[in-house]
Amino acid sequence: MIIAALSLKGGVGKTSVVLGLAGSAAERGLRVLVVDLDPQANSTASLDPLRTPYTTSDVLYDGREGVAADAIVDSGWGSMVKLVPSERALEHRAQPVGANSALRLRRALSGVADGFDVVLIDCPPSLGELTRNALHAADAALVVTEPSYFAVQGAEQALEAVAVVREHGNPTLRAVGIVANRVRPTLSEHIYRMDEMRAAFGDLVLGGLPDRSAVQQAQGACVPVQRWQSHGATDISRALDSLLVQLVGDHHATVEARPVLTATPSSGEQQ
Amino acid sequence: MTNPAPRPALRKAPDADVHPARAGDSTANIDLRAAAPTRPAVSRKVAAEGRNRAQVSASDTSLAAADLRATGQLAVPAEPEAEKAAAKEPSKKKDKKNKKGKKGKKKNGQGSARADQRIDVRVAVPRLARHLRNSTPTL
Repeated sequence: MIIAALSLKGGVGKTSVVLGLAGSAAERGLRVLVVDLDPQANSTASLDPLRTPYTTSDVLYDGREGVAADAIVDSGWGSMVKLVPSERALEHRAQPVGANSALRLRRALSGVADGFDVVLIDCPPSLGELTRNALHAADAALVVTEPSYFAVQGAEQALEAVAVVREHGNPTLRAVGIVANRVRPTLSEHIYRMDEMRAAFGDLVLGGLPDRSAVQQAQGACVPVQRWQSHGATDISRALDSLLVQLVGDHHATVEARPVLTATPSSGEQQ
Repeated sequence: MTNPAPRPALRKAPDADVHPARAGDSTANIDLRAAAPTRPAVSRKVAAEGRNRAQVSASDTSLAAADLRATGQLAVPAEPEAEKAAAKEPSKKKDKKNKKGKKGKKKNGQGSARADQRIDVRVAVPRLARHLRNSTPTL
């Protein structure tokens, strides 16, 4: 299954969601491939690969059948999570080049995705050539947003983009849902926006991921949040497990009860 | 039954070392020194704008600049004359204001030393980037 995580608004936490799902899937024994399609290369940085001989820039530059296999490297998260890393030069690929330019990633991943249970594509925060490549390559589109006015508007635009690509080139693509990131259920604005999203998008809203500083802490330490020792990490890990089940189904991932940590959370941890 | 054709090996993009801020340039082989024309003395502000426009001209951006392609080098031009003159002027005014004999001028190190200062930066363009025009991927 190839899932493209997209949002037309930046800073909502696409990378955090991608990394969180990757960690959750790996913990359940699923083989994960993360394709970093963002020139900022944040996923690449946090997955901490030892070597990056090729990147998504090379993959899109080449664009031939199956060549993405040469760009796959081991991540620092263990053997279950592999990566096609990014680099800033990926920005050069952000323009259409020739006919069927938006199909380059799909061709390059042809036959490659079969070797993984879950492929997660981290898209840049724009509807450009890179995101178009992701949507043409993916089976499922996960819209990431946050409970704010601008982000909800961005989610609507992202869903429209998914519908356009589905109609014009990738009929297998489906919008699997909208996930709101960094939700604080005690804030009235967040409560209002979550209700607004449910009213507008119905069952597409997959729920919210709580705002926990463990996410940034784990990313900075280049480890999955599932391995971060804090109550906040446990909270967000449970939410990510639940999201993963909604995306890949129960037959692929069974959510097991996580042990409640008794260790004192680190200073500054949000609960 | 014949075996399937082997999968092609991934090719490295030739512009990996080109900063994304230059992605819109028609070529990386620009001789900025040759592109900078001499300009009359104008105010510092106008001279700064002129310098930015002077760095690229239509003829010099053409790929027919074979010498530049061959060497694969970029050079940032010396500060245009107007820029140097404008840079001098405020200092001169300041010197006149505070001048006691020739002390102010010598203190700031102005004069002929500044006129001889130039920036000469050479950037090695990757070999593969010289063939950028001929390496457009076919889909």
